[in-house]
Amino acid sequence: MGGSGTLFHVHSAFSFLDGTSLPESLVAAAAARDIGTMALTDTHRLSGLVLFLKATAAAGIKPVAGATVRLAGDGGVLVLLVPGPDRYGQLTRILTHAHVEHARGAPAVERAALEEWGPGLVALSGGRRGVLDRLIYAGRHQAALREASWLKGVFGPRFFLEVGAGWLPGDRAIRRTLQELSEHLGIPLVATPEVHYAYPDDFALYDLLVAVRHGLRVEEPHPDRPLNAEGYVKSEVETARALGDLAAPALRGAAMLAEQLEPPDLLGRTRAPRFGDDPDAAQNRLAALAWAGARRRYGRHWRRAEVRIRHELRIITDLGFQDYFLAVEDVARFARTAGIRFAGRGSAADSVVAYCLGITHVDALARDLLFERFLSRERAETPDIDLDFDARRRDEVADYVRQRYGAEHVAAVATYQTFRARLALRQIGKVLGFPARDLDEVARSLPPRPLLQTEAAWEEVPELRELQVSPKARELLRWAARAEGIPRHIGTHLGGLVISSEPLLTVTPFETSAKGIQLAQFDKRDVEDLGLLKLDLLSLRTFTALTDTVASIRQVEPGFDDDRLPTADPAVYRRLQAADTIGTFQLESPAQRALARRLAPDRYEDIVASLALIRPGPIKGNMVDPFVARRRGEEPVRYPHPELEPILRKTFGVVLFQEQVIAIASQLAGFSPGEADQLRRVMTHARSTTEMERLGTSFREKAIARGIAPEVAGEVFQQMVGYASYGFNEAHAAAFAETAYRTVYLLDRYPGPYLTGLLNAEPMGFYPLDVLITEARRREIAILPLDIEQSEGPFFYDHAARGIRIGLLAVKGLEEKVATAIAEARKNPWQNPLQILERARVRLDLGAQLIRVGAFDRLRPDREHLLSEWLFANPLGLERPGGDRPWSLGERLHWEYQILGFGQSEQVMALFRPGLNARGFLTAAAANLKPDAEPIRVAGVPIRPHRPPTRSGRLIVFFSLLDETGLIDASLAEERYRRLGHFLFSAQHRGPLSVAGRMRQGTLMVTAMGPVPVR
Amino acid sequence: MTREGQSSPSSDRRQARMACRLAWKDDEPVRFFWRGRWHQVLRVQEAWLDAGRWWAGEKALWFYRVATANGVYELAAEGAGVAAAQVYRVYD
Repeated sequence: MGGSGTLFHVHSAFSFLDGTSLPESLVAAAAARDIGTMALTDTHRLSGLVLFLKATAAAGIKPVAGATVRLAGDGGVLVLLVPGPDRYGQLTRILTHAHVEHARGAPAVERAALEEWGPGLVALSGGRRGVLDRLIYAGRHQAALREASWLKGVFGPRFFLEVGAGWLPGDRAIRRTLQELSEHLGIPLVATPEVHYAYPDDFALYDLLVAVRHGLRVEEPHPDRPLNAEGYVKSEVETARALGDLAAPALRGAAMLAEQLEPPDLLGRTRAPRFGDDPDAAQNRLAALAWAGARRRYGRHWRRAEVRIRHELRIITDLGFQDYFLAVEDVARFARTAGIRFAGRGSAADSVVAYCLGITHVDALARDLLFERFLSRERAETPDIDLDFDARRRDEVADYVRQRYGAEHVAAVATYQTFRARLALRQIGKVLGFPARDLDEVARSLPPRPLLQTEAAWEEVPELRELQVSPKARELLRWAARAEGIPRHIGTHLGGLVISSEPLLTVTPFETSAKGIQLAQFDKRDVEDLGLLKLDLLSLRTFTALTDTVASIRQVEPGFDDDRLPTADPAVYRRLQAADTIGTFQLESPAQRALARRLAPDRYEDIVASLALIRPGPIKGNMVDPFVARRRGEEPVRYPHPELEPILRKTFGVVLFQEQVIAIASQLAGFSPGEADQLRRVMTHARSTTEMERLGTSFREKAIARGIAPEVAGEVFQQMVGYASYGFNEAHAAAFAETAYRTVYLLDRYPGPYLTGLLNAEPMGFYPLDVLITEARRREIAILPLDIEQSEGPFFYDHAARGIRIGLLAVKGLEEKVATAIAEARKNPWQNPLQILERARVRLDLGAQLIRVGAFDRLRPDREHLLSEWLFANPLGLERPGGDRPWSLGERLHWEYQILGFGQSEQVMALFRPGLNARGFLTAAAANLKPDAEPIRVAGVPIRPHRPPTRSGRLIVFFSLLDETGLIDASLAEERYRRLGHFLFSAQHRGPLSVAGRMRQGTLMVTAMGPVPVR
Repeated sequence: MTREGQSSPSSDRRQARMACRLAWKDDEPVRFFWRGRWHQVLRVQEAWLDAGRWWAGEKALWFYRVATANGVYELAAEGAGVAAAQVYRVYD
């Protein structure tokens, strides 16, 4: 139970650089300090409130909602507290006003807003940064009196004078004046230590964050820099000591105020919109849609799904999620009607009802997928149905949702951008006076792991070891590590929209996102706790690419429909077996291609399995090798128990999918599917051996009771423990496999349109543009250069010329409106092609870029002259500098890589080829044909070096090398990584590399590496 | 609010001149011995804590602005009850 202490002015890390501790830490510190009533008063924000309410409930502390606000013009702050649930909406209105009526990032509250929504709220004078203390400190006592009178006029008996305990110079004099004000105006004093962190040790980090906020060096003073470490969670005794003579009345005031305050009523109820007032309306509607969908999906065999659909509908309606399903179905129907490509992903594909509603495209019945992996009575959490949309049109769907439910009821979900390792390092390093260049080098060389681990292993990371930076860099890493993970500012969740049956202002204030969208102040976990309905409307650029590809194909095959592709096209599997899948969805990475070479997929299920296998879990859990061996017939298929054969047959006895773990627990130990899913989740997250032993005992007892031999039960349980955390969701794999197959088919049959679709949808996928352009060349697709008359904005596929025309938008910095203007301007005749640029009012620098990449070559091949004409006025008609010499390949490539980001004329390694040939270097294409173990040398541009988890736990670096003939995949073992890793990861080494090694099953095992010899 | 750095020989001599000894009661200075005599504190006008240049290893100091019969002084000490202290500032 909570103590007697009170805290009314508390900043968590959600005050963004004005607090270091998360709400949970603050509450834990408060509980240890015998605090009984605690408010969270972040600046202009309620983002920490849900976490705060949950933590205080567990700690037995009475929570109070509140916020610190800055008065417009004045700059002084006030603390506002919500005295009870019926007043909460007033605070959200004030905070919304502060954000929406002022520039983004500079919220403030107008006095008129306080006068309108303030009465009924509790206001505290704000402490040393407050409106009153600032006036008093400046000696403006009359102004302070007027201000206090005004505030009392607005808030009446709910206005209090905040007496801080910060041990700051001037505190005693200010307290004397506050006491006079209190007696003169009858305003109670309240002891209010101002809190910005949980413990005294956090002070230094807080000071650094304040310095970051103001862009200061640590040596620079500033009024906001904290003078001392007194901003921690204090006990009543510590507060009393600081208040001296005022301790008694101020603490009495605090106790009195605490009695008046009630917690907000936010958690534990649903606010999701309902379909109709009649409680059965939604249920009936959902059922009707499901049955109609079943007839559509299964035709005359729809009755095969009947039992399953009834089962799912019963669980959905028993748990009260029918409104959620209807909301998602409504969005899916809109997208379908509007011709927007979409698909449901994730565990939603375990649902036949979702399939019949047209939300997902995976037949869960045919795949025998377990519904309980998605939703069960035992779990009873709101299901999460993620929808991927064509990225270009996703916002249309969001607009539809706003229109459908009303703007007051819909907002984007927030996300909290936290300090990531590199940002923490750079910003804190800047405060501590490290040179920018040093910070840049260290930041770029950081491996992808928590900073504390990196600091501890500094000597083992070659790219850090190589750096010539100050010895204090490691100390910096320790400071940055403390900041890592602290919320830094609010952002917009990529796809989340929240919908409420009541106006959202009853729950959350709004802010405006960078894109001008209405943003709730809570993130995806919080909105669920608040009982709001969340839709995940995600953007998938692959869908954009597919839509464009199909549109291009229909120019020559009007009836083409990618929903009717054959699912067993041999050419698709031949391509997969050849690992020739760069550009495809989920199957293009070096790891996927290496797997494909081994697995030799020849059926759809192989694709599904591949998507589940190349994940950190299965790799570390050693599932890949046994699966491949058994699938290839190199190892006999074994089942842990004959009863498990129907469950594991499709994966050759290897437990690959989470659904299989659930099914095993059900089959052997008699768990209901819902209980089994709970078991799986607990196994995945279980921390203690005691808990695992308890689960193991329960499982074994139940299995033995069903006649399973004890040793078999034990062995199966151990395997389940391993697989539970490594297994992948089969429905998700199946949903992705559907799209993956399409992309392989289209790459195989229509490479020109497909690669063009990819180029226009970039950035996406695993590889940069240069790789895709090279792949196109490799497939004998012409790369038609940028042409001022013939290029459109985007890339387009010229069917007649069998080539991809580079688009105007490929030029860095050239926006769509400029491309449109050029297309318009060139319609009229011209005498000098530069007139196109003039008519389109193209900027001087952009015009020069277009000339430099040869956009005018067909009309005026003399680039030098043309550049000179464009850049320099020549009123006297003098002979211009520049000659007729055509630019060399090197010159052209220099500008193409700079301006377009890829080689339009050729891939850059073509420049080095004569020299490389002379030295015995092979091309990537030739090297890929070499037999295993033969020593070879290749050279190329390193692509995507990365350090994924491995089965053995040892560090291996994978990367690819790109040359003008394509890609070759390579790997670097741990010992060699320590000597050579800096060539791949350090900021100091850029450009092509020469690599020596031996091929092994399609991958070059590197033995030596270095820069490309220039001569 | 940052404190002056003190690292040169002249500042060392200055430090020696400003050194004093405090007597305490209830965590507040009641008198201090400086330049050969005791000064009685009539009233502690202000008391505050300054963390100093913590990043350079400086310790936090408590400051007390005290009124005596012959003027106002600022005294700096590492904590309540610590006798060794400094006269940090003298107000005219």
